Amino acid sequence: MNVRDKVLIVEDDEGIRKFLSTTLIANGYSVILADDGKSALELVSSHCPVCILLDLGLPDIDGNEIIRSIRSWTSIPILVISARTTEDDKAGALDLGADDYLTKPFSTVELLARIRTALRHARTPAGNDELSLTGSYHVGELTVDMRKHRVFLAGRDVGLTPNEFRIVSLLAAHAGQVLTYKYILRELWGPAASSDNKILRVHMANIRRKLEPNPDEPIYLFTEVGVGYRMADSEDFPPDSHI
Amino acid sequence: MCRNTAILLSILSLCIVVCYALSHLHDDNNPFAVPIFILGVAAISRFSDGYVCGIAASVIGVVCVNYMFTYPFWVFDMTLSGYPLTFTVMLLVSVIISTLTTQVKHQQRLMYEVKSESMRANLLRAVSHDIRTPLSSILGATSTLLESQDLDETARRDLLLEVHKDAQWLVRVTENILSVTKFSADGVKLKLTEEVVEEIVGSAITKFRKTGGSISIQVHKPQDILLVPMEATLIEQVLLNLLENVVFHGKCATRIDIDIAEEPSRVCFHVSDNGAGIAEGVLPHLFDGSYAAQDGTARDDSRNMGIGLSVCQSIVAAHGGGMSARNNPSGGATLSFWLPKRGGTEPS
Repeated sequence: MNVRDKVLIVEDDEGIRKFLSTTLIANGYSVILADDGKSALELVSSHCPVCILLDLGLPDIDGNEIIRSIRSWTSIPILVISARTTEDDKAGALDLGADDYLTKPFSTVELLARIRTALRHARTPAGNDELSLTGSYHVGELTVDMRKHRVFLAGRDVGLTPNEFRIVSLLAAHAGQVLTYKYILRELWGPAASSDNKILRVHMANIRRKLEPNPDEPIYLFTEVGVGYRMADSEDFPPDSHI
Repeated sequence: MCRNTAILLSILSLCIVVCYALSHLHDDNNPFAVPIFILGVAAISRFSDGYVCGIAASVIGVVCVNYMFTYPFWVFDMTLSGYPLTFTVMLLVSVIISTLTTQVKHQQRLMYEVKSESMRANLLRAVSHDIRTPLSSILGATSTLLESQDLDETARRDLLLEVHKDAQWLVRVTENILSVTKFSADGVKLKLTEEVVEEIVGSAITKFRKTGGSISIQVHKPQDILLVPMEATLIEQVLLNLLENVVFHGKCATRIDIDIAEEPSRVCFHVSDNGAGIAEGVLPHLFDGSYAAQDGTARDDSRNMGIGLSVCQSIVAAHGGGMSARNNPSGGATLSFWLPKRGGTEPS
């Protein structure tokens, strides 16, 4: 018999908790529930769930505190689910170590896709299986070849500059996850990098013009406005889609 | 306060200088001193706030006239015959003018408050209209689902789809209201950062696709990568509203063109469609929210027209830009907005 993946849902609103647990159970997960931060922290250590869905606005402990406290001892994927809408909140939670961020309201399709992405990353430390096996990342018609430092679209080299390649390869290694501007700048230009992300934006615009079939409707490199960037993963290319 | 003191000091010193210059022409009692100081007091009362400055000016003015410009010079002589009269006249002038000025300013503020109050009322009316319609449909559909057991599967599914659609609609309305609260609260300023224009346009299109927009979109942009200072999420919302506006009101529109045009001091965005166009009577009221507020006949097709476009208008205005709408000669409508290239001027 299949062992179901156990997901911890930390959410104080009963309606949302119900909807989340019903959806997850229907999709083959088992679920444990917490309605405040204190019991959430206890459940994390006693049940060792594979993934945590965390609402930031809890009655007792601030959500960001919970992320910090969980991150101090484990790398269990944390998906923040929140009604807080400012971009700084999102970037803040991601920089603290949350794996992903969903703003209420969101669709169940999106939720399930993000959970799968988070679990995949948690299980293959190198980023994703394919990357560690073959040294290249494929999605849709895009191939990021980490060994040759080349990016191909439908077999054709798109001709990225070295800096552009570094950005693309970083996003590919974390495909499916939103990387904040701050994170990208720090990873690529070191901790002393300026917080001015204008150069990154311009690079990104150039990259899109080179590797997106239609740069005005990106399908590989998504912008989370005010937060950061995300590289498409297999979730964005479901087998039955026409893209 | 600083401004008041500056006005007081500069005008008084001007009076003293003028009187001093004139006193060289007339050796005896300076006949110009009193009228010049009365004029000075009047000016101070007019340009300063409140009464204090005017009254202070009249006291100082009387002292100056007495001390410097009335015989015997450089001596205080409280027994001069015209002294009480001069003082009273100056005081009255200052009080009367201060009162008038204060009243006018008060009236202006009232006018402004009434105007923004009516804007707010319009917006609220549009919002409640935009919310009530889908809410009643959700309530109706869910109670039918709960109460009628003998519905067939297709009917149940239709009702659920309707609920889903209305809930999505409510999400849109809420997003719009939220984006307005980001900057319309007192003392909140836009956080302008230089953004790559095509990135924001692309992101808006992606969001538009996610909510089910399937119309083909062509973007025409300049070769150079354009950076414009803006609050990205808000401008994204503007673009999204304009795209959705085409879906809801363009009726038979089959394509949308987004033109990004760079001008010396600003960047213009034109969103045009090949749909039904906008009724001429509606054009002038498109952005002020009053159209949706009229309600009545405009029920379904006024959805989003009111709040969506008036939200666009306030976002763009907060960036120091402008908005316009027109019908294309070849059919369909073009909604345009522009943003200043260098740091948006704060609207007054």
